[in-house]
Amino acid sequence: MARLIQHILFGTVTGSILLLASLGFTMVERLDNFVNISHGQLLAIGAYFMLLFYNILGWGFIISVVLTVFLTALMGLLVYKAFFKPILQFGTVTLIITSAGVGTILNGAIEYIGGPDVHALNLPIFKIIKIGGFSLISKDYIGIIIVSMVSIMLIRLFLQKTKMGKAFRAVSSNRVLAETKGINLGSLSTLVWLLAGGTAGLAGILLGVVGSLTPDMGWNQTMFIMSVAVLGGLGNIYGIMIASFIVGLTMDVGILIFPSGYRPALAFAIIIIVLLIKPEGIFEE
Amino acid sequence: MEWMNFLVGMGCLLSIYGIIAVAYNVQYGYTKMVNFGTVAWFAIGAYAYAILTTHPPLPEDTYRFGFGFPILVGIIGAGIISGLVAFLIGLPTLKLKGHYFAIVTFAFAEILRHMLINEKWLTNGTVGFFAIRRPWVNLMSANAYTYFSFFLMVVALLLTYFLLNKICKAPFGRVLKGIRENDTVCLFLGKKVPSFKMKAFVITSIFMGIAGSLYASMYMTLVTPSMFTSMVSFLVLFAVVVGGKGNNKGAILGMFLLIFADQFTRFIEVPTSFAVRMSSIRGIIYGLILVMVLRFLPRGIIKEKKVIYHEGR
Repeated sequence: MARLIQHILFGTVTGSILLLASLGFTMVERLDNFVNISHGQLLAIGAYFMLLFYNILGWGFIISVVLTVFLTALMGLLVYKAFFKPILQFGTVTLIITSAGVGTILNGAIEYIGGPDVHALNLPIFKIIKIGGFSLISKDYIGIIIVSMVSIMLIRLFLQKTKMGKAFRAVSSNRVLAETKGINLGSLSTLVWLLAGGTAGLAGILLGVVGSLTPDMGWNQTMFIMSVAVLGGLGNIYGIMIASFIVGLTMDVGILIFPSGYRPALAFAIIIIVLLIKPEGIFEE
Repeated sequence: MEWMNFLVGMGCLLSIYGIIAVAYNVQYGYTKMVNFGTVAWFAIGAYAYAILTTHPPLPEDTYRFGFGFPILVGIIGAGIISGLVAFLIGLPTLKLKGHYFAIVTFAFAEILRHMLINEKWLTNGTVGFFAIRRPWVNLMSANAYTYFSFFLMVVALLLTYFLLNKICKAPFGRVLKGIRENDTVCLFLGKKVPSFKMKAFVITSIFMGIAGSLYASMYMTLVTPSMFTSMVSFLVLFAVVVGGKGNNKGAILGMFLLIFADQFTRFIEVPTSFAVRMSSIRGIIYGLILVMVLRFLPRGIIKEKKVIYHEGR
């Protein structure tokens, strides 16, 4: 029983990280209408930036986090300006294939700089909370859930209250109409890609807290993000909030039933099952 | 002599991947089915061949099936099983639009890779199968065999090229192009779009499976799950895009360029400290080539010929 509770908690933590990770992916999908396969690499970039600042250069925790988020956001924007913006008019399929190429480039760069070895962030581990003699959850995990929740709430507020947020929602529901109404697409997409990069960087740090850093973490995360996005309905920002927890819980509770080697495969199985039964996602708008 | 070996090795690899590239071109270039899981059918072919032809398991082996069939049964079986899997996967997924099909095939390839690692009773886990029987290896010396296998694979590539080219030039291929341009119009013209897509998908998957069996038997003589990562799918996709989609010569040319870049970076001598980083550089090179070609030559190096089937009235 304690084991089940523990796995549910792990699943919640995984879900919180996935939520942050999928948010940027979904916003990009919504804005430019393509599946950005290279998004997972931004998470890896965030994790490796944190490794550089916190472990190698030995800077303070807060400074490292702020710098990481800021620089990953810039990376996101840079990737957009350099690779995606010039080919936006070529259509969805070209964009997806380009994003596969961009993913390969970023992954190669990460592997080149970080090396093939496995790294760990070794963030300060807090005390473990014990309930009835079982060590259930460390404060790190509670921290992750809180950080991700707060970020999501902020972004939700941003989308609903600010002018830019409203512009984003307008563009995502009807691009042409929004453009004729005078919404500045240039500054909007700059903002969205900064947000996508920033949330990805934050999610990367959180990933480094619970796991280790490997060169192929970017591709793995891309797969999980895609399953969240498909389950939540591609481009549906509120749908992914529930979907990410479903995927996280399925993976971490599922390994009680299936061999643990199948943990990633469970996320992919969700993709296939959802696409076969309800291709528009469960939480259709 | 070293150069000769290098060229022959590259020719073998090129022929095998060339088969996949031409087959993939029919999927993506002609029909616009963006398959991101090509490696799945490659792996299925390789494993099917290995399981069909390997010796029955000894008590200490972890795998439970090894049939020890003759080589030809292995190759044909690899093709049939790949086609069957393509049929089963295609049945529900081919009606999905563009990026959904890409996502689901990508996911399928990843699930398959995890199954290859975890289902030890069938695939022997991470160890895989090694010392796979090479066809007709006893008939000649090892040196002659290298050239013989090279010859055999080139023949296989040419055969694939002519067969698939014939299919593409036939009315069947024209319908596929029609589906690519506008599937609704095709439907209105009375063409059974799902059935055409399914036929194209199954036929090309059979070729991919056979390529997989050749790769397992004649080139590598072993199969392990680590050989079938999503990088292979990307390589094939990149080759078709770079060479020119909707154009079988272009697919082979694109594959040649990528394989050459790959083999050359392996062949040149570099300090050992640098050698580990070579694979990451390769990834960067591939990605850059793809992004550049898509941006500046969106239709690839060899452009698809515009065919006018019926001029005037």
